[in-house]
Amino acid sequence: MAEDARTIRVQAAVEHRRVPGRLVVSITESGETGHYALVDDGSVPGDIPMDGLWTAVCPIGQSRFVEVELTAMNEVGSSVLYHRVVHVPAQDEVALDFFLESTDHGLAAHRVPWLPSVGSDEYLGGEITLTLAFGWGFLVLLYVGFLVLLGRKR
Amino acid sequence: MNFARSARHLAAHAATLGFFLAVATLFTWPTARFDSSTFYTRQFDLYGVLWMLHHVREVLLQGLVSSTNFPLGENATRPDAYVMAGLALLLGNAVPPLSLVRMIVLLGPVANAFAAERCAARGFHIRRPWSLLAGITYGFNGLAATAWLEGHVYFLFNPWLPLLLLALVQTTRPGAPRREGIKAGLYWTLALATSAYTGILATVLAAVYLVRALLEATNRREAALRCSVPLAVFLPFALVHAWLFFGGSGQRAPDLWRASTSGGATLAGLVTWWPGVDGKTYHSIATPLGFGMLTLCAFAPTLLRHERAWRPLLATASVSVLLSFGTVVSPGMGGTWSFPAPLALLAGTPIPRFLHFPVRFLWLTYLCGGLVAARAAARIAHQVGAWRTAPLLLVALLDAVALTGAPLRARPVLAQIPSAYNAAPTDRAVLDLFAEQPVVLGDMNTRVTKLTTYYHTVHRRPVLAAALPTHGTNCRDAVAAALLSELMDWQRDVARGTSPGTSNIEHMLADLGIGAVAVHLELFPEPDRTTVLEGLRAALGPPAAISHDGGETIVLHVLRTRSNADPTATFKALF
Repeated sequence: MAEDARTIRVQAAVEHRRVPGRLVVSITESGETGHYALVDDGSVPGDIPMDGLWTAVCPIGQSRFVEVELTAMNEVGSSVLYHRVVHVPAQDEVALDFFLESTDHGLAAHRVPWLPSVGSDEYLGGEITLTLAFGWGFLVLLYVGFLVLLGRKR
Repeated sequence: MNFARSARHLAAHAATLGFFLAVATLFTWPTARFDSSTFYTRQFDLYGVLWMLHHVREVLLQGLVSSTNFPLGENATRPDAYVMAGLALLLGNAVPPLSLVRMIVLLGPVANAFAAERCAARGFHIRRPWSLLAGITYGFNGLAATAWLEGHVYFLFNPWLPLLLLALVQTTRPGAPRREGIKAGLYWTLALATSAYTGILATVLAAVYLVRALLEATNRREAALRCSVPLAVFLPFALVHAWLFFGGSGQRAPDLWRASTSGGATLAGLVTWWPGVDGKTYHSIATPLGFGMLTLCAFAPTLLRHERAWRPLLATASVSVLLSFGTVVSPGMGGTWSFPAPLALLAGTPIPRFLHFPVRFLWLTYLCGGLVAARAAARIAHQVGAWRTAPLLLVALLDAVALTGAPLRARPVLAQIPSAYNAAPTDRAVLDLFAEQPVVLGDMNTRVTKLTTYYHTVHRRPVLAAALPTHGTNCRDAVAAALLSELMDWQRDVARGTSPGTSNIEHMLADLGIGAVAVHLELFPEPDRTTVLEGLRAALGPPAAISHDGGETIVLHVLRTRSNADPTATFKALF
C-alpha cells in the first residue's frame, strides 16, 4: 500500500445479533491484499461490544478503486459473501456497510448505505422530573394523611 | 315530577361529559384544533392505523391488501382492532381516516372516563363529584397518552372495561336478571374486539368477579347458571378471534424479537413522564400511577375497613401492577439493573410470546385503583366535608396532565405528502428508496417504511412497503437491498469501461411492476447520496420530479419502459 493515510471502515449488521462465525474482509489495492477480521468486542474504535454490528478498520492508500472480499468462516468451511471492486470516495475514512441475512442458501451480504444513529438519550430530563414528581407525591401524601387524621378525630 | 328528575339527571350527565371533554381537550392538546393540514403523534403506529382505515373493506372482507407489500400483497387477516375497523366501515366516506382518528383521540377518552364514572356511581354507589375521580383516572392516564403518542389509537375508545365491570357487579348479585349477564357478555366481547390485549384484561376482570361470585354463593347451582351467561355470550366471538389469531389465517404467530423488556412498565415510568422517554427507540411508554390514586389506595384499608367491595378492586389493581412489569422489574431511564418479575415464572411457556406489552395490564390498575380512590375520597368527604376534600379532584387532574406530560409530548406531522409522487404512473408501483438503519442504531427503517404506507393512502399507487410487521417476505426490503447493492457499485463498471451493471436495473424493476423509484434524499448520508443519485441517473435517466414539500425532499425517477411480465412470478424468481 502506498500510504496509510486513509481507512475503510467495514461494518456488517447481523440480523437478530446472531454470531456469524468469523468474518474477514480482504482489501486488495494495487496488487497487495490485506486481511482484517471483523469484530464485535469493542476492540475497534467506535465499536460497541456485542451490539450485533461487526466492524473492521482497514488502512488503504490513495486508490479510487479497491477490491473487497467479505468472507464468512465457521467450523464447516468458508463462503465468500461479497466480492467486488468498490469505488472509494476521496475521504479520510470511508464507510462500507453491509447487511448480513440468513437465506435458504446460507448467509448473504448486501452492500446498502446505512443511516447513522440519531442517538437517543433516555436519561434526558429524568432527574429533574423525578425530583419534582416525588416532591409532588410528598405533598399529596401530607394532604391526604391530614384529611385521614382529621376524619379519625371526628 | 319524573320529568323534572330526568331533566336533572340529563343535565348532570351533560355537565359530567362537558367536564371530561374539557379535560380531554387539555390532555390531547392540540388535537382539538382540528387543523386539517396537520395531525399529532410521536412514534409511527398511527401510519399503520391510517393504512388499515383506508383499506378497511379489503382488510375485513378479503384479509389481503394487494396494493402494499406489492407484488405479493399484505396479509391482513388479523386486524385486531375490529371495533375501530367496524366504525370506519359504518361511517364510510363520510368521515375520512384522519378525521376519524382525530375524533377517537379527542372523544375516546371522554367515553372511557364517562363509562368509568357511571361504573363508580351505579356499581359502587359513589356520588358525584367523587365518582369523577374514577373517570379521570381511567380516561386520562399514562397508557392513554402512550396509545395516542405511539399511534395505536384504537385503545383510546375502550369504555367496555368499566361497563363490563358494572355489568359483572350487577350480574353477580343474587337474583340478578339474565339481561345483566347478557350485557356483561357483550361488553366482554366488545373489549376483545377492541384489541386482543383489552380482551385479555376483560377476561381477567370477568374471572375475578365470576369466580368470587361462585365461591361466595350460598346457592352454587343458581350462581353457576347466572355466571355462565356472560361466558356463553362471549365464547363464540372468542373462538373465532382465537382461530384467526393462532393460525386459521395461515399467518404465523408474532415473532419473539419484539417480546423484550421494552414493552413492560418501569419503576421510573410508574412515577412520571420525562423528556427522554420519547427518544427511546420505537416507544413512548410512561405510565405514572398518579399520587392521588396511590395515596388514596394506600389509605383505603383504613378508611374502608367496614366495606368489602373495594377488596377485589384493590387486589386486581395491585396484581396488575406486578404483571405490567413483564418478565423483569427494571428502573427505566436507561438504568441497567433489574430483577425478575412474576411473569418470569411463565418463561418457557407460550404465554409471554403473546404479551409483548405487559404494561397494558395497567388499564386494570387505572380502572380498579381509580374506583378504590374514588370510594376512599367519598369516605373522607363524608368525614371531613366536601370542601376540604375537593382539592383531591385537582390532584387527580394534575396527575393526569402533568405526570403524563401528554400535551407536551405530541409532535405535528404534515398531512400533505411530497408532491413528486404525482409524477408517478398511476397503474404501476412505487419503490421507496432510503438508506437502511441496523436495528441497533435506531428505528428509522420502520418509521420511514410506515410513513411511505401513509403516503400510499394519499397518492394511491401500489407500494412495495409493508404497513404491518410482516412475518414473511418484505418486498420493499428485498428489492431495495438488491437495487442499492447495484447502485453502490455502479462506478466500478464505468471505471472498467464495461457495460454498467445499471443497464439491467430498469428491466428488472419494470418486470416487478414498478413504475417509479422515489429517493428520500435526506435519508442518504454523503457520499452515498451522490453515488445512489448518479447510479439512478445512469440507470433510469434524469428524475421526472423533485419536490421539497410534504416534509422531505423526494427525487422521483419514472421508468421509461414497461413490461408485460407477471410481477409476482418475477419477484418469486428473483428473491
